[in-house]
Amino acid sequence: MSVFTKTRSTDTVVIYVLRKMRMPLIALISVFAVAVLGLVLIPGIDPDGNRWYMSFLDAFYFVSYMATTIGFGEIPYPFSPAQRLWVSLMIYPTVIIWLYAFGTILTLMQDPTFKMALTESAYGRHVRRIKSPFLLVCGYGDTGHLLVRHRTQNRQQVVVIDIAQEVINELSIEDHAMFVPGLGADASQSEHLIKAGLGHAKCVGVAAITDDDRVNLKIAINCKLLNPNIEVACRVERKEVEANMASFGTDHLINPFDIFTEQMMLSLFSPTHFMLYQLITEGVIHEERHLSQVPKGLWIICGYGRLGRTIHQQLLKHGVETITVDVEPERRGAPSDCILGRGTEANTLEEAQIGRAVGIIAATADDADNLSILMTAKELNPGLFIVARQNIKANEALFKAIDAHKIMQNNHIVAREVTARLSTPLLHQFISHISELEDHQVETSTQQLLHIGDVGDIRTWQVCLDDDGAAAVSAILQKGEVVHLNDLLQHPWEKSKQLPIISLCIEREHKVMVLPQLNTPLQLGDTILFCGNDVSIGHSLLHHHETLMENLT
Amino acid sequence: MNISKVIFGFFVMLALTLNFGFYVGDIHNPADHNIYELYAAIIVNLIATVLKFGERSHLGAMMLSSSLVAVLGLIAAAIVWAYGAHVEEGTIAAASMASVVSLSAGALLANIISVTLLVIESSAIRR
Repeated sequence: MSVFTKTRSTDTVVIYVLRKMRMPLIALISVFAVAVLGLVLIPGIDPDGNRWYMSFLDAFYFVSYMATTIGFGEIPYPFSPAQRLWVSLMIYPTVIIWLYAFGTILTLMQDPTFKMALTESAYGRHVRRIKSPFLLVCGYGDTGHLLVRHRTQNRQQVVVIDIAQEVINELSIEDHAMFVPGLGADASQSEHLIKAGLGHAKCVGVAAITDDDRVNLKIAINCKLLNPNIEVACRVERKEVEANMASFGTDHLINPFDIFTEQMMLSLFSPTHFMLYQLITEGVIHEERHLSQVPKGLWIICGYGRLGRTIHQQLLKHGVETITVDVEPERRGAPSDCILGRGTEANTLEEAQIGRAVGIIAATADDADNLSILMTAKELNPGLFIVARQNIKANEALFKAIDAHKIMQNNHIVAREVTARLSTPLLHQFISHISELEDHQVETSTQQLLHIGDVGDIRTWQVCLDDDGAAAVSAILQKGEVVHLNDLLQHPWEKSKQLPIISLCIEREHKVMVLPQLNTPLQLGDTILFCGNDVSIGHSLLHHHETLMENLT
Repeated sequence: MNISKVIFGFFVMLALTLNFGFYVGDIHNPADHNIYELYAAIIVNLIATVLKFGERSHLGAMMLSSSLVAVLGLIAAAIVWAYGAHVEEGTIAAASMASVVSLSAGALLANIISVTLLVIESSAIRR
């Protein structure tokens, strides 16, 4: 048990430990002083029969090894009876006091709260010393893990805070590309957030991604009150909390259910748009079987919870026939034709007319139920389009084995969304415009990207045309000369060749131009979203004056 | 009257007086400087330092640091004495004695600062 209460600050704990050390140290000094003085004053007799007195040096040396029970023997001559009498009187107090002082100090040093205080101050020191822009991640669960991994791989600094100390211990032995400071403390308390760098000049954003909506809400409130300039991305699953967060201006609300539903609708009803979406967000197209052949017909939704309700509403909007299955239809506000049951038994599914259904969505909050629903459904109707909700990361192998067409993985969705919104906010804007695009525009961009994808990796990044983001371009624009978008995308030495990069959109004075023409003249302060293979020539064109001049003349 | 304050003030001032008692006298003459006085000064200074552990005020921190300086000076003096008297043959040389006394003079300054701070602190307490 710790001698300290949880609420004490680091400073108090250290002072308390020092004060507790006073008594044992004074006792130690006093007893040693008496023992040494006695040895110096008491005369001895050397082998020749002369009186001699011990020096302070010898006396201190002798007492030191006597008290610590090392015992090198009597020096410099065998002791006289008077000296032996004094030593035998002093052995017991010195040894006892030595053990007492040593033991007390050792116990104080090992107190968990004291150790915690030391770790906390070390953490605070690490955070204060950070020189590059960093992201504060609150909650190091599966999502936090993915997010930290992704950012450290891109050489971006991250700071972690989580209420569970075990998780932080895990973090310290994990192999990330950079050192990630972690603190085991409650992120909803402002003092911990401040220690984790909320007020730090280089803190660019906070990701509140704990699995508790209330905690995320408190973090968002803290951030908005203590440092309103910081961008806050919050994971939120319940609508009422989402509205609350939006009311005080939380920058990014990330609802995994909404995002998944949007993606799913895009993939079902505009597959070409979805291909582009996958390319720009993940860089690859996952083989989605029957993607273009999802037949219109009856969809069964098992579980009318947060996910079930959102999907149900969206499918209705698209005019798709649906039937819902739930254990407690009244409590959850399910439609009146909802079928009572879990969906794990064959008769419930048959009642839901699985024979003529084209798709099934297992959307309950229980992974075992979801797997069971899908296994039963596949037996009854092997041709179904299967959508599964996976709640726990550890079940990944099982969901892979069930061979679903779409799997909703909360953690991946949130991690990707946080990265996208905080590091490339323009990508998020582009995605929100994606469904408004014409088919042929999407088709062209997709083909270009697929072509690039055959050669190398596809990434998405944004560049601001200022002195930091594109020094060469900004210098020429400041001189009043004209730079076109194409000048940044053309190969400087082989004029007929284009770089493996396309431009997705340009943001100018809060207006977004989606898929801009190649001859668009650029302005100072424009932000451009690029997608493609991040080749070094692309960087040279932005930063190196001579390279850029090749394209301008 | 606060008994712990009495003990605290007693040790801080005793540290100064013992230090001064050792320091006075001819700087080269070992007969003017009693080794027992140096011993007592070291022990009392050590205790005064430990008593200042864990003070949270700024003045307390300054007192602790001045005490640490004094202890350092006196222990250095003791080491020089031990070296002069035992490692080099015979009794302590005048040159070694001079450095012992000058080191203790440095510690004396630190002890004077320490007592001054103590006076300032007690005068700041409202009656």
